[in-house]
Amino acid sequence: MKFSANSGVPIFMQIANSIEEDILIGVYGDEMQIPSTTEISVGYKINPATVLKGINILVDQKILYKKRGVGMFVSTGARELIKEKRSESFYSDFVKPMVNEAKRLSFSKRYIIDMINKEEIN
Amino acid sequence: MKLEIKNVTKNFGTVRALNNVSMEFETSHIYALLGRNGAGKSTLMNIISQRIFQTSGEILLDGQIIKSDELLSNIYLMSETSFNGNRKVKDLFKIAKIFDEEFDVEYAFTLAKDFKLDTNQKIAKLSTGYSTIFKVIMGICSSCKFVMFDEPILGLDANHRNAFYKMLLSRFAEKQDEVCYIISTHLIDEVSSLIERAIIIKEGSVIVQGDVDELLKNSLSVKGLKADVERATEDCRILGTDTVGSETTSIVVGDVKPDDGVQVSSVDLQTLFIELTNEGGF
Repeated sequence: MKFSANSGVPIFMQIANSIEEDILIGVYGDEMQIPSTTEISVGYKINPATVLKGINILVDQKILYKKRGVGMFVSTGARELIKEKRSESFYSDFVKPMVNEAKRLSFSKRYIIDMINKEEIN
Repeated sequence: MKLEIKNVTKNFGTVRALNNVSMEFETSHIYALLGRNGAGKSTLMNIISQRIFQTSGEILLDGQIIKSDELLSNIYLMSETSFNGNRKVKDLFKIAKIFDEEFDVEYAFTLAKDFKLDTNQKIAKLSTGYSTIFKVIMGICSSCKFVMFDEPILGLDANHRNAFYKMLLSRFAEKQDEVCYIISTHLIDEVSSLIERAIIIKEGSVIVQGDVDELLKNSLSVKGLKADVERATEDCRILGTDTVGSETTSIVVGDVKPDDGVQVSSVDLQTLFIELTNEGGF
């Protein structure tokens, strides 16, 4: 995880995104405990209230859940939830900016599709 | 516990250093007290710790006017004020315990070791950096609920600053709801992720105070051709505008009109601070 105060994304969002990322790539699997607020706070030099705000976003989305007195855990099926959520924003987050850049570079639609066809996707 | 500064004014002769300032500090939060040189930050902290007295206004602790014995046990100011230079570091750790029964001597020695601060050294012989480290340790180990750090990273190298931030947050986590840290510094970028709330002082008055995320949520940077930027930011409060070549960037508060010609992004605390406290020119 790496956080930056001047990346344009609020730090609490960066926390949520980074935990999501870790779940997506398998650092934290179903029912695994994530680091405590204090560990994240001290480890990454971030105010604990900010850390908690980020974690709570994922609790609200049922990606994480709280075990009283123990800590925060990854919900079963969290990875699928994250995939669903990210699928919804795939167009606006990736396709739209890519097309905008392609227009600036005067690429044809064909050219972009050819590039994508070179990638191995099942 | 809540510390309230109510309508405090301070005059030094004919100079008004603080003009009717009001603010609140609560335990379990970390604050930044920000302002340019001469804005009145140190004067304010000296008044809060009653090293000097206000011309008018009140300092309240949980709604009661603060008494001198409560002051000692609740408010600590780490500042330039020097300790007796002939004393050794280890002696001052022990002396601190006389004034503050719950001063954490053991932790002070642990931190000194972590920072490689020689406890047999006399205070007067410490380098600028180690003198700062010594004062920071005195603040961290005090049992006071409100601890103010006036330039706590002065002269510290990058490694020691990093260690200071981690030490502060780990102590804050240990003390849970019992402590409030107030950090006054010019290195805003470095502390902006550490703090939850900020107070900005300009020429003796509070111009902004509140939750940092809230402050930043409403502030935007708008970049593009001058005419496009002006059109998009018509309804906003414009804090500042910079032009490089034919590209104009405005820092604004409010609703930006959607416009294909401009790039809108969020701003960081330091950028917002600079715009709010600028006095024209550079």
